[in-house]
Amino acid sequence: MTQRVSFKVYLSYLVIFVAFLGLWKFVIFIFDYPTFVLPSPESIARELFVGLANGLFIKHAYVTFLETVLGFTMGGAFGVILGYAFGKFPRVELLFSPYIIALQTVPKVALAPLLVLWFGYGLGSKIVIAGLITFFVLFVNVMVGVRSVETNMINLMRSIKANAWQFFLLVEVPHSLPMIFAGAKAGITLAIIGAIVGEFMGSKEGLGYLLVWASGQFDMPLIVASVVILTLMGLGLYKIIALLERFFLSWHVSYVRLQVGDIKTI
Amino acid sequence: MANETNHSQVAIKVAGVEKVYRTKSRDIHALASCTFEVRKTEFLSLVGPSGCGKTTLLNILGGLLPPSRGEIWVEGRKLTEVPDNIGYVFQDPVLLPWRTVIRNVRLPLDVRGVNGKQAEEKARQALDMVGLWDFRNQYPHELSGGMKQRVAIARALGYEPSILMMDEPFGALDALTREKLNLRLLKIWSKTQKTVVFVTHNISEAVFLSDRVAVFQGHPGTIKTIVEIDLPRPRGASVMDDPRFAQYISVIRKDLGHLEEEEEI
Repeated sequence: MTQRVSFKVYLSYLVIFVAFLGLWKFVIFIFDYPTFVLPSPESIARELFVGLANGLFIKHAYVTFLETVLGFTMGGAFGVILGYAFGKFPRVELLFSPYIIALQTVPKVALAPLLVLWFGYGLGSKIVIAGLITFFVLFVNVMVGVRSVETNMINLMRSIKANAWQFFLLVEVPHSLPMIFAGAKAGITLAIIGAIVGEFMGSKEGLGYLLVWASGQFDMPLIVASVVILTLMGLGLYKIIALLERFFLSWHVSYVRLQVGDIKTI
Repeated sequence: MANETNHSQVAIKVAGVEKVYRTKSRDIHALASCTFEVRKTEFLSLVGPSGCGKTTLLNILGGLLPPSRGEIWVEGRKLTEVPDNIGYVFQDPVLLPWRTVIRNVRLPLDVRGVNGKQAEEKARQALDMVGLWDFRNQYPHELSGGMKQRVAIARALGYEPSILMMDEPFGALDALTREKLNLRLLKIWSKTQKTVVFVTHNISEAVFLSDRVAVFQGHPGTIKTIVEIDLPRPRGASVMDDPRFAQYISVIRKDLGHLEEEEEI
């Protein structure tokens, strides 16, 4: 039964996609747009095929991927550690909160020009931008997660004589994991944006560089093809985190389903 | 009442225990001086209106809260931290939502470093006692309120403490579930020979379960009197038809004094 429904759903995805391509073709046909304004779907498909065949996309996507993943893991790790410390010790937060709020309010991509000047045109500056964005998302989520452990649970752990380490391992970590994963899902997409903006500011490789270069050439098909690659990369990274979440948080996935009904999760 | 109990029969001795909560603006006297004993393997209930300090007293006895004054001895040892021989059942079940039923029951055993096989066996026995072995692999959110509280009881039984502290464990349940769980609790109690300190605001529940009922009164709260419940054991639902059952309830109601003074509720 569920198999049939999901097959229908997938079929409708395909139908919508084909209809979209048809509309696209139709608009080009009616208004007779030149390729440098609105490229045709097949010119983009060709560009994708050629670019993938000669390794152009692989080469640039690899660089952006590296920047994103390194920035995400390092920023995320710092976010989790500091978020825990701030959540656990309210006095630390009291001391630093105005600065944290100020830093949080700064649109991180606005720092990109500065960071590129500081960390150069290579990978470093992009990793820092991607990391900075991820840091704040995870920092806030972990802080809230640690704080939201109920007094009841603290009393329970005290009544069974759990020590601080056991409390951390048996309560704080699993309690915070749903929020860590929620932060990671938001963080990974933001990290890609950070890496791309960094590449816009100044770089010699990466999909952001390719986009800027292609727009300089008025190479519309290449621009759109690069965006497609970028999107696929983003989806892939998001999916990896979603799969990890399912693996580590099966209890939570079923719990959320119970709360909001059986919504199809991505 | 009579306190001529022999020392070896005393599970918990409470001497002049008081609690004052200090806040910035004022001191709140939550518990006035309490002195009493809990006998070994007895079922003692603490009864009183909400906010009279019964939970405060229970938390002090369990070592979760330090008293402002007075001393407590648990099985002959002066209470300075959470004792090893106490199992706690809270008002809410407080199950860890990421652990299955059996792993929730195992939690205290894991914390105490009991090895895998032994812990598994003890958890099995405890779950058998509350009749939830078949649900061992469910998650808490898949259980009803009554079942969750039974898991919480199994968790407290699992590491075989000699004393059970129960803080209105069935307060949030419907009357029928509550009665069923009361019967089950009595069976477990008689089988395991535990000392139980049971907090409730339900007079008939207290009479039904207990050997003695400690009646709380006043602000700050203190134990006004302790009523011996001389009803036959083992007790089943038919005990409630015994005329003495109704008498005990009316005695305790009078002791609580809440029918004479039309207080704010």
